[in-house]
Amino acid sequence: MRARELQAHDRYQRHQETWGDGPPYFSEGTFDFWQNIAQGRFTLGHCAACDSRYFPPRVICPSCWSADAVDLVDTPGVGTVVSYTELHTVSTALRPIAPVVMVCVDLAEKVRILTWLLGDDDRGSIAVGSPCRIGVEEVLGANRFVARLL
Amino acid sequence: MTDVAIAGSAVVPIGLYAQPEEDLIMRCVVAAAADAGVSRSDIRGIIAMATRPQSVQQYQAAHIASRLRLDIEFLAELEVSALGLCSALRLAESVIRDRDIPAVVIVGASRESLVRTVDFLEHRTSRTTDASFVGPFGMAPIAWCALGARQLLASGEATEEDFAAVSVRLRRNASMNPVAYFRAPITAEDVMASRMVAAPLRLLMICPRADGAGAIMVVRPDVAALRPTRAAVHLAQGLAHDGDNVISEQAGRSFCELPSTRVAAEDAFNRAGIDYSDVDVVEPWVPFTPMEIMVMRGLGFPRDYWTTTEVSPSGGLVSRGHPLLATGFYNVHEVIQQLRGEAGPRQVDAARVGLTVSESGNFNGCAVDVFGRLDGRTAN
Repeated sequence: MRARELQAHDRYQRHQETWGDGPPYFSEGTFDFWQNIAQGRFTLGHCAACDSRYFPPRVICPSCWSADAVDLVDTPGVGTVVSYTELHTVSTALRPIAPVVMVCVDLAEKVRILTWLLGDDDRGSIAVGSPCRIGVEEVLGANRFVARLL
Repeated sequence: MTDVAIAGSAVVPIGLYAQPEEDLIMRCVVAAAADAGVSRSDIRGIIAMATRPQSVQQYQAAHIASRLRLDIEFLAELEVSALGLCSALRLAESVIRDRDIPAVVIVGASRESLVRTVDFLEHRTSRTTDASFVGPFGMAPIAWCALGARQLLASGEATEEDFAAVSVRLRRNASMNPVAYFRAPITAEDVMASRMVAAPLRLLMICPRADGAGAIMVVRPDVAALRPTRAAVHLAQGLAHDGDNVISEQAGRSFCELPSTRVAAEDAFNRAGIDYSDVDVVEPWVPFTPMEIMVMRGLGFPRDYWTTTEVSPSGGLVSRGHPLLATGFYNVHEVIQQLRGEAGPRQVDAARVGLTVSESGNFNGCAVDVFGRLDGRTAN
């Protein structure tokens, strides 16, 4: 446990260097995910023990409860819009990009992602059932995982 | 029938208060004691809803007990949530039975006006869902309701005009409720012309964040028996949870079906020995009008539930107002007034059974509490 905690302390400092005080906030289970995002790569959690895919990543597999078996895998990020809303009243942090289109996307891998829809042209054409893709783009000065319609 | 019962209830009109929470709570405790016909020495326990972060005074239960010089042997504070009062009722009933004490008072207050909405969104709601993966995208109660409302529209299960009709009905009810915050009647045209806040939710489909406080006096059977026409019995509590924290991680789950509501309703009805047709009045925890449609249909009431069951005669959270920690007290207070036959112009004819419906998250968790009169008769 002490070795793991020393590793966590080191990773926490590296997370702080990349993401400041957050969000995103540090966790052992998501450290690599957010480092990947910073480098422009969107990944899903994959359990090396039971082969299930899940999102967000975490230290315990939600299917088989294996500990520290998360193995991040790439994804095409292709899915479907299951719902969306346009938020006109937002926190101060989001005001520069308001109104924000929040979308909920179900990926082909049967995981659910909540994020923003980017693209002014897409605001008028989005519908429940629209095909879309999750990718990494810079928004508000940092890399984020976001959706665009296909 | 003899049982632990709610013999007294008091609330302050919902509004914007300069008085701190302790002032409002103390006024409610004294009014609830008078309403229940109990004396200070009868009150041997106090349960408080845990204080909001914006409140100066913390440890409100001990503070109120001291200020009112209550001679208590039991004290507790419960964490804030819509389910807090539900848990407090069960705890009070248990303490009265276990310790054979005459009365326990439950108190709660919120001054939401102390926190600007943008700060509420930034510092609280963004961390009540997943603080890294969901909250930073602007997730808040209004957003998850909007996602459900959008699915209702896309599936043809409701229209924006249906949402507006709920707003109009709630405001009409609130116009007859002296403790409601918004009381001026509105039209469907007013609702549809109000500004968009979280599409498809418009301003007049949304609860006002406001201030309020309440107290409920739970008493021993022999104390309740002194006022059989005024005491209400908590007949049953149905509980369920769908396993999610607001947003499901699993693809395919609906935003608008709210499965925990049906499970909690059936649990409550089985325990109380009643059916849907027995329910005279429902006061649901519904901060946005599309959610009333989702919740009432989710519970198992018919699509046109408003034609058979009186829902939110108080005006509901959307028109009565939503002082978060105190809202549950207003829901129970309305049900008690209805069961007593003391709801004035908004009185439901022959009310015998009333429900409150409470949530955690996006109705991921649901509590359905069933109330009836101690004497088992109907109001009026």
